[in-house]
Amino acid sequence: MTARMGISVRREWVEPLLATQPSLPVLEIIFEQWLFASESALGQLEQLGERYPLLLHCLSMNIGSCDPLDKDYFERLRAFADRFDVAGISDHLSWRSIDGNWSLSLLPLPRTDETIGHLADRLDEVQAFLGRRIALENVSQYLPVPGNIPPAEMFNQLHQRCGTAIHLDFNNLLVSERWLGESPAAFLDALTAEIAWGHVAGQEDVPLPVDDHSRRPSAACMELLEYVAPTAPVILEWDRHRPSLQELLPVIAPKEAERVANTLV
Amino acid sequence: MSPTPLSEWQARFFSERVSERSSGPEGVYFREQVFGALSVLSEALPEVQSSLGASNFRYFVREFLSSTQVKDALGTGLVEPFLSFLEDRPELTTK
Repeated sequence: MTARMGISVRREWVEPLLATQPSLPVLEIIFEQWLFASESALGQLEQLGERYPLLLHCLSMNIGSCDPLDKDYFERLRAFADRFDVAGISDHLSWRSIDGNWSLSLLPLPRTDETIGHLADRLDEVQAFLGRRIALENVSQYLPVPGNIPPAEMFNQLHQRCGTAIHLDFNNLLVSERWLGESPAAFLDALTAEIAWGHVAGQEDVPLPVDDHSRRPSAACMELLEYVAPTAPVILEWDRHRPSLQELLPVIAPKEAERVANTLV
Repeated sequence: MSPTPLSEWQARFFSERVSERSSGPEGVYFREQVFGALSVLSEALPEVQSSLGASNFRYFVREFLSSTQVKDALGTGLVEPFLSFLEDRPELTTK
């Protein structure tokens, strides 16, 4: 494994992380999981931030939607990013609401010039407000959408126009391949956008898998990671059937997991 | 704001793929909506889930979402309407 790997922190791992301080290059945190956290919990996050660079991953920028941007959300996001001095901010190349009705998952966008223009306008506004460039993640796509712009080209054009990097999710490429037959290698070969950071994850191996982050990354996912060998850090995501931190660490840092286990004996 | 082709497409996609219950591959985003609501409601109402049982709880959430739109990004606004839904449908608790 050549990539520099960290984990996407879930709340129950915070205390074990503070107690054992494994040597990891970076941690990712999910903004929405901390949005209404107590000051005591935020204090723990500050302690993590003193030890690790923090990458801030968001779910609700709703960047591809035709609904207005939520000013209150972005004000909270900017304040949070400043307070914790995060090393990067990302969300998804997707949309979640229309006419005020929200999806609880990430929805795909048509691959058209109109979509790119819409995204570029919103990204310019968001990045100016936040005072920094952000990254957008490629989502797992389950159904076909209109348009004929290749998926990697969407990211390339947004990078050219707005400086927006890609938050490259290797597993999502594999999930989309199973549903739509789109080649991950073709995506990666065509990608010229800057990679801000990566994601790996896994799920049940069924004919039409859903990206639920319920297992360790598959061999195919790790092969894609090796294929790209990004210099940017890569984050392991795990949501359903979550293991303890002790069980999680060997997946990304076997030697460090051994050291941490010894400190707990 | 006047509708654009993108906003019209999003409204149609949402209506047909997220709000409307359907089975098979076409129903994946509705199932994701149910799964998301289940996560929110089971975390907010663990005692309700426990008293109803996990499979009944799942059934009620699916029924509830067939007639309710999520109005916020986190889905927490579902909690009160879901409790009202259960109160208004006592026959469901016998399933």
